Amino acid sequence: MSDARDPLRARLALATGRSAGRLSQALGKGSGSMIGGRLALRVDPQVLRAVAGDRRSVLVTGTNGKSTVTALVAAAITPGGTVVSNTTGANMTDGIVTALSADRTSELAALEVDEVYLEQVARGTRPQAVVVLNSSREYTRGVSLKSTLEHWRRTAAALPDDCVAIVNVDDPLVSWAFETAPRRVGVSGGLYWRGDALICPACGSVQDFTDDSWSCPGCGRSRPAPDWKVVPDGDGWAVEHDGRRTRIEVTVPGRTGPVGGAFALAAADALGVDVAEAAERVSAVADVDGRYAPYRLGDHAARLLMLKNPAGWAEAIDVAVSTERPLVVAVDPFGPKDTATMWEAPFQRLAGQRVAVTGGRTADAVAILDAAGVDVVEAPDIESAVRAHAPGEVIVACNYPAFRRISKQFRGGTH
Amino acid sequence: MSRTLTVATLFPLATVAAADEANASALVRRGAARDLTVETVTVDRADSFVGADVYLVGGTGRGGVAALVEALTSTDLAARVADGAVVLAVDAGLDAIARSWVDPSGARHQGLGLAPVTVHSAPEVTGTVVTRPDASLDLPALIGWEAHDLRTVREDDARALFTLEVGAGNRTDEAVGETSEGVIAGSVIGTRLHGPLLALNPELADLVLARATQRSEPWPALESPAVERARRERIAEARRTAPKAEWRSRLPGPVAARLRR
Repeated sequence: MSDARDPLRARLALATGRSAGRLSQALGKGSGSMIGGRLALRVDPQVLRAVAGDRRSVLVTGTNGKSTVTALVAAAITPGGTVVSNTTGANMTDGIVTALSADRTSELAALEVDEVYLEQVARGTRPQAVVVLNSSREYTRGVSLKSTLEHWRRTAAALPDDCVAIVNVDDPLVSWAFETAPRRVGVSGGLYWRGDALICPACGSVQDFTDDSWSCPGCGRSRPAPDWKVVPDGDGWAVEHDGRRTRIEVTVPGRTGPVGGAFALAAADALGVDVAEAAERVSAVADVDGRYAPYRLGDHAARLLMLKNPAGWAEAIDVAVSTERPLVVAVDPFGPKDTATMWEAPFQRLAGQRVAVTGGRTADAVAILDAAGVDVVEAPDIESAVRAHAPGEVIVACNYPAFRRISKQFRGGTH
Repeated sequence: MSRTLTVATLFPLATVAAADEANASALVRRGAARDLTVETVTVDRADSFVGADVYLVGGTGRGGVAALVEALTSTDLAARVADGAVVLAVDAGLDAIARSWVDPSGARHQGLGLAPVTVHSAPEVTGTVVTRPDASLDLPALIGWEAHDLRTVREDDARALFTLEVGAGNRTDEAVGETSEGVIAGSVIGTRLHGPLLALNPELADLVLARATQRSEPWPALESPAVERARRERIAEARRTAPKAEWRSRLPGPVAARLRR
């Protein structure tokens, strides 16, 4: 949608993008969520500024958990107005242009941003808040972690003065990258993957870690006291902030859910939305893109997790261990290196325990789990994999194609 | 009596991750099966460099190689290798220990000079690699993965680590009609193959352990059925899809690069 106030070049750009998006859909080439934005950006590199307009935006970035937290942020800020979000997961600049140009009226935006595009998107949207979840290495991008962190640090320093950077202070890399931000709020977001954060990004010293904190003996940096913290509350979780405790119910299993909720409440607070009201909206989110709602299979319930890197697998393993739920690993093929990153995940935490494996890459998963000393059982399909465990809730850790296949199958059948 | 070996992974954050770090734990597992106690350490800055029996240096991409060369130059790696320590250098790691390498702009730089190779620009190749069995190194057909835009020229008659059944390899011996991959010279082993190579190919872990312990006789046979099955499936898949990759590799570089997009 164009707006009469848009500069001529932006209007031309949007018209081009719109026709391309329709053409792409008509040809069955996809949802058209990227091509339209990509062409619009070709015609006018400043088009993001035009489509963002003067609405108030929250950007969500990090290596893992972006889609989930973006959905929680979108829910949390709804009391402040209607919200546009790039719910398709198209999280590079082109996808964001497409999402924002499809809805020019919503006053608020909750945008998932690929970590490598943060600078460009922040410049175009001039956000009110930037949520930074975590940082670990990706295997598919050709970008080193070091250059991503430097890019973040540059971006943080250039954020608008009224923008609040909401950062995971448990992650020393995130903490360092955003220490240049004009305003900063800390969330205790947990750190599942210390492997990439052992060395201080500022001075190169080996950091000291305790269970819930870190400090650097070289430059004296340490974990800033968090402004937002997740605490156990009865049989569930609450978020602590400013001496107040807000109960939160999130379907996402393990600590990941309430931690995502804490980021969302901090974002709501940054936009002036009432925190208690935001918590109700967050608690009402039953499901994010089919990811977390448990699927019933007779006496079993399956909770799906989608993992793409060692940090993600580490988190899934942590969910299984901390919630004492049995694990199913489901991996399908999507290329020659589709299971390579799993070799670095800490499956030895499950040594001696039974894990059921299924999917087109069963042989790889068996080799990886066997090397970690896990008691592996193979299953011909997801139902028998889940039923290889005692009745009750089972965590199903999937790679991307297995997640797509299984969630589709479950949604079509038993859900 | 069990002997203890130290395996040091060098500067893994300097380069783009390619799952090479799992090579250290693969040496721990295979070492245990060979009655060797393998201790691992990660070196991330020059002053935490340690004396080790095996050094692993890897990752991919050319962006981080300069930093890697700088970091490695300020360590005792060269002296340790001269004393017989093994170095397994994968991709960006091989560039760093080569005599010379090229940066993304095509400019040539000095490497550490531990591996007798020079590295040159070439069209991009990506794909699964299958090696030919090699009785002289006691290796069966192995599986790996290459993704680079380089040609790796061996010097001083250094021998290649592998010859390939599937894959592009060093791209230096078209005339000979065989495809060489990597280099092995004394205790220096260099390759472009990611994987994680040693986790997928325990026999190659054996080779590293043999060089590190100066063992000359072959290791006793040792089955690892789970890994062998996974590798068998991957090799079969690579053989099925290999002819498709073949015609592209015969095209001129720029054309092939366009087709791959």
